[in-house]
Amino acid sequence: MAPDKPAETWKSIDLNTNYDQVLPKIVTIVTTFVKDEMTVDQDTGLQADIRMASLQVMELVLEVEDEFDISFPLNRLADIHTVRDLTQEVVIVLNQ
Amino acid sequence: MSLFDKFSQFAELKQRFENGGILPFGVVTEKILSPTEAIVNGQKVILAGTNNYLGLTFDPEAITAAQEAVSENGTGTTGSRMANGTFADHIRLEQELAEFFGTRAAIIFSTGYAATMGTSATLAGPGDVIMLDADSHASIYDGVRLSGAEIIRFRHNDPSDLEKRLRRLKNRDGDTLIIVEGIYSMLGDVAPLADIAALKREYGAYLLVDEAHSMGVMGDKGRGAAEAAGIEADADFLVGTFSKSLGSIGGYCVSNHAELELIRFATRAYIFTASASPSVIASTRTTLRLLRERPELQQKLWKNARHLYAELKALGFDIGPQVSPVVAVRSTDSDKAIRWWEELFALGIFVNLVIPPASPAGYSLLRCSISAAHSEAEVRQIVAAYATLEQ
Repeated sequence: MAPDKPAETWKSIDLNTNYDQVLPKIVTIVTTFVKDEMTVDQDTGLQADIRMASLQVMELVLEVEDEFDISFPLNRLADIHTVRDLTQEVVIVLNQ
Repeated sequence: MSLFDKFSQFAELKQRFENGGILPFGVVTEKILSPTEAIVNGQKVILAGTNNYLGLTFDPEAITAAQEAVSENGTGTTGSRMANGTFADHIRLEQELAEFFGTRAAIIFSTGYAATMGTSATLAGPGDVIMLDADSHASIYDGVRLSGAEIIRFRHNDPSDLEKRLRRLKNRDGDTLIIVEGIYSMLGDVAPLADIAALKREYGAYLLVDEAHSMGVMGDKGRGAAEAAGIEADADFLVGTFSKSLGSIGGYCVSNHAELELIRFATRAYIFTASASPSVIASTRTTLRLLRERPELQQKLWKNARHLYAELKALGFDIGPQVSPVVAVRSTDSDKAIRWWEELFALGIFVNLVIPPASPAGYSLLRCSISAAHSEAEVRQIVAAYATLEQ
């Protein structure tokens, strides 16, 4: 899926605003991995709630990388448990 | 909360198979009769998932060489290559591998897993980036996690996806190591190595090709997918195993980089494990020679592969995207795949069952790996058994 704005625009946004703008994109992507009817929000646990296997989480990373045109090394996954964690990590990468 | 709670998923998995009377994972072979037949669970079966591509496990020359080696040098080395476990024949095998591949250096490992895991863990390090194909073998994933490098996956066999990810690295410091396989073990598809090698050159990356399922199977000389694609000069490291085409156990890494000799001193999977026993080295040296002397084995292998692939495709099964000695039937229904596996086994056909998460893209697989040793009658028997399955 193509981002609404060119990737360069994301990097010019400050960190707090960025989280709010990144979150809906992450929620949209994560929702594509949900089999049952479930509302995804920032508190949703990728493994605890959606029961994503490690392979699915890595597939999620591919989608996130393409959405934001970033490199998101798998090494960053260790501390990501929720949609909020993932969003915060993406914001950090966007602002590097 | 118990230490063992996380293993409860495996108890559930075992439970699923109890009605079938046999657990597909860890089946006990009671007596092996030949490269293609065995007694399993009291029943004679055709072995159709052994990766014994050239069928050399019972070759008389290899058996004699192993017997002589065990008589002369004992049952084991009892030590690591770095300590007391380097015998003259370990060095000879490394020299023969380097000569076979036409490379400056070769290192052998005690298993194929140790070869891919060890090199994946050691070649790149902190500050570097590893780009690996999404369908890479578990040994590669295990290795790269230990490396300290940043790990980025690209979509399976998709050079444009790889390029997109290489481009995103821009001018960052550190080196980039691309890791792919020759033939992928689950679906039998071949990496587009010419395109990947071109990207490696364009972006100044290093390239490692795991030839576990393609050494002895592809290339005029049997050197693998890199040889077949004409990109051996671009492959900085070729890694493979002795436990498939060479019918023994062990692994190798060959390279034209003279520094491979130094990597030997840094690879923990090489340093901190016992070296291969003399009999294993002797049989491997023999089957490596036979691979070179008997190109007809590769021709027979591909004849059998084309036969099986065409017949299973004609039966309407969803199979892998291209002909190769790995012929995998896919199903999105794991219960159906399990039922199929049980029915094939009852008909005397022993294939591999692979279910998520071990299989790619959520499919369950009935995976055949055909051998040069299969007779035409055996291939027909395999096909006949598949024809009875309700799709």
